[in-house]
Amino acid sequence: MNIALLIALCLIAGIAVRLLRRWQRLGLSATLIGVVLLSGFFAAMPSAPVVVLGRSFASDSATRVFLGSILSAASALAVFAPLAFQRASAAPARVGANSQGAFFFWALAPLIAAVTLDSFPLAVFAWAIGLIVLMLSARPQSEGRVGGAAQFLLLIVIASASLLLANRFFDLYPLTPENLDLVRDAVIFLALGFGLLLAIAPLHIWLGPLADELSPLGLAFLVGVAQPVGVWLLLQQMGETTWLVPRSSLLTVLLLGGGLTAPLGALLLLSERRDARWLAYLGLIPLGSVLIGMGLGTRLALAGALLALVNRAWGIALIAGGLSFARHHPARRWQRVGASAILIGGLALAGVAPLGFAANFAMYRDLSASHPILFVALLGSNGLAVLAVLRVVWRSVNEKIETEETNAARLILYAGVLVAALLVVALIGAGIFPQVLAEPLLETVGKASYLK
Amino acid sequence: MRRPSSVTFSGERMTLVDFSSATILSGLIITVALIILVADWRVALFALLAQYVLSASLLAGLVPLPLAIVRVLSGAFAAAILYFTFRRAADNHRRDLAQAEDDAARLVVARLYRLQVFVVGFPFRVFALALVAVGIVGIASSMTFLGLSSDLLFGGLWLIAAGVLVAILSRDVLRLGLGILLFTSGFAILETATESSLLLYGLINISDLLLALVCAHLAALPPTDGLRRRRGELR
Repeated sequence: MNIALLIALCLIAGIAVRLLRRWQRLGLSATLIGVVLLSGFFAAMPSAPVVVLGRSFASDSATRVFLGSILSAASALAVFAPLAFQRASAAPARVGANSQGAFFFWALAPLIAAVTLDSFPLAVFAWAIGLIVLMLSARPQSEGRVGGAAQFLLLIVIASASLLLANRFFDLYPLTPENLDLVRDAVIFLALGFGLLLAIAPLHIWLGPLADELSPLGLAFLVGVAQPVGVWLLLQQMGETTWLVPRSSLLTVLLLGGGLTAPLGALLLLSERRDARWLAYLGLIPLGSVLIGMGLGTRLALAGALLALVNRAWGIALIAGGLSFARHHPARRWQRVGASAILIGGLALAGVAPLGFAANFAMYRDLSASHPILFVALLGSNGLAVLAVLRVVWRSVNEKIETEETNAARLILYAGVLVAALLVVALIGAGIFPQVLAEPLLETVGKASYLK
Repeated sequence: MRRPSSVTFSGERMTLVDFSSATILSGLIITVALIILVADWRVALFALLAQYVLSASLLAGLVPLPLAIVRVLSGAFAAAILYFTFRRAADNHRRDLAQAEDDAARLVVARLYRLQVFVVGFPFRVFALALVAVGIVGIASSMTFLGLSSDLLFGGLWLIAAGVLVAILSRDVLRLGLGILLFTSGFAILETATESSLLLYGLINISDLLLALVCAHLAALPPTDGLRRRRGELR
């Protein structure tokens, strides 16, 4: 029942934030109350599966840890949202900017269902609905052409259709095990569906135009909260469909996808100066690592991939918060706070010790022995990521400050700093004590029969 | 789930004599052609609604008639959502025309409005539509997919391909929304024919409404400064 309560609470918190959007302190208070209640319900969630409306919702330890990571990242983004507060008016741009937290809560509700549902097609549907709802926070960029957000709607529909068709092949193959064409078709549809929505190279081309129409926080929600849900669904399917990995080339596809995505993300990142696009391309690098970790097919690499996924969610949320400080609060102290958040989040995404290094090390050990070229490509990508992060931080710190005043209430700024500090602690904690997260995460996913 | 030769309605069997598969498929071709070839939004919206009725007729062979009618209802709601947004956009267009000071300015506004619907002209759209139609006829008549009958396969693939075509050719968010709804209609036919899950069928109908809502929302928002192409540039 707690999962239903979590979902209901997300919807109610979203409505409250939307209604209170004109008053920044009240909006923040509604967000904080929502986050505290979400944390309370999440902590009280029973570990046994829950049946709601005839459907079973899993809440084993792996699901709880993963759900906890995306809940915390989404909550952080919702608290960061008032940092972009604009003076209340009826202008659609301001209404949208001041309601970002509401859209995050509303998009989070179906994502919670997607993570916990025991049915792949229903989970895919819930994931797609979460992504569609998130597009409400987008803002068309220019008149006279279809923007990235509208195009992304079509991609969501195409990808969901592919995944549901793949599910049909999953159902059919056990009836005719000699027909290996069904396995091949299932993998093709699976690769198309997940490849599109996870922005795996070369299917990543929608990411830039969409980033132009989303705020950095909205983009961070997409990349740091919604995309990991897709990776989680893929992992679940790989574990539950025991014949899928041994009888197909899915692991090779994952290795190839990861091997292309990380270096391409690094190259795009180097030349990018728009903040949302920059964040999107930065997120591609750890995504490549995660895919490679999954594609190696070993328990240790999978542990690293799962840790990298959690690190990525927290790191991206932290950078988005830093960008919000840097973009909306020109006073020197807040610029420094923003630069610090971007630096720490960026280093975590690049896997610099102690932030995120444990995750990368777990993957690098197996990768360097079996695929040395991919290993070098990953190292190079992470090196370029560090350079790109340092460049942005350097610019932010050396920016000429024209005013020391800010329109935001101090409460909002301090809440932002507090949440950023909590994310830093979480990232450092996950880097120093990776077993705290890795062991429960592997409890169910790590038992998949294909793992070596 | 096999497709019966007749539809059931409240336990009684009703034969579809006048509304055969060929009629339905011809209707689907015509409605899609109207959406792709005619720039006027009223015609396109009417064609979308007709497409939902025809899709529901095709689905009536797979699910009980009351459930098939749900598809028409969700299409009607989606069309209603889009209607209000289209009308608002048309009002804006009329206001711009009224504010234009001379015939030259009015011509510019009218031309801008026409250009905003599609990225290419009428002849290219006819050519693209013909190519897609020939391709889908070829695919549906020469291959099998999950044991579907050729009329269902053609209906589903035709709407999916037409949806993608509309989305590719559209310059207008609302027209792209019509393309997305065409795609989901085609997928609903394939999904309902291969899966027996009523829950999924219901979710497809709900997602249609959600997609129409988000498209209308995106279309109603004024764009950011068109000249500032590189929005959010890092300092």
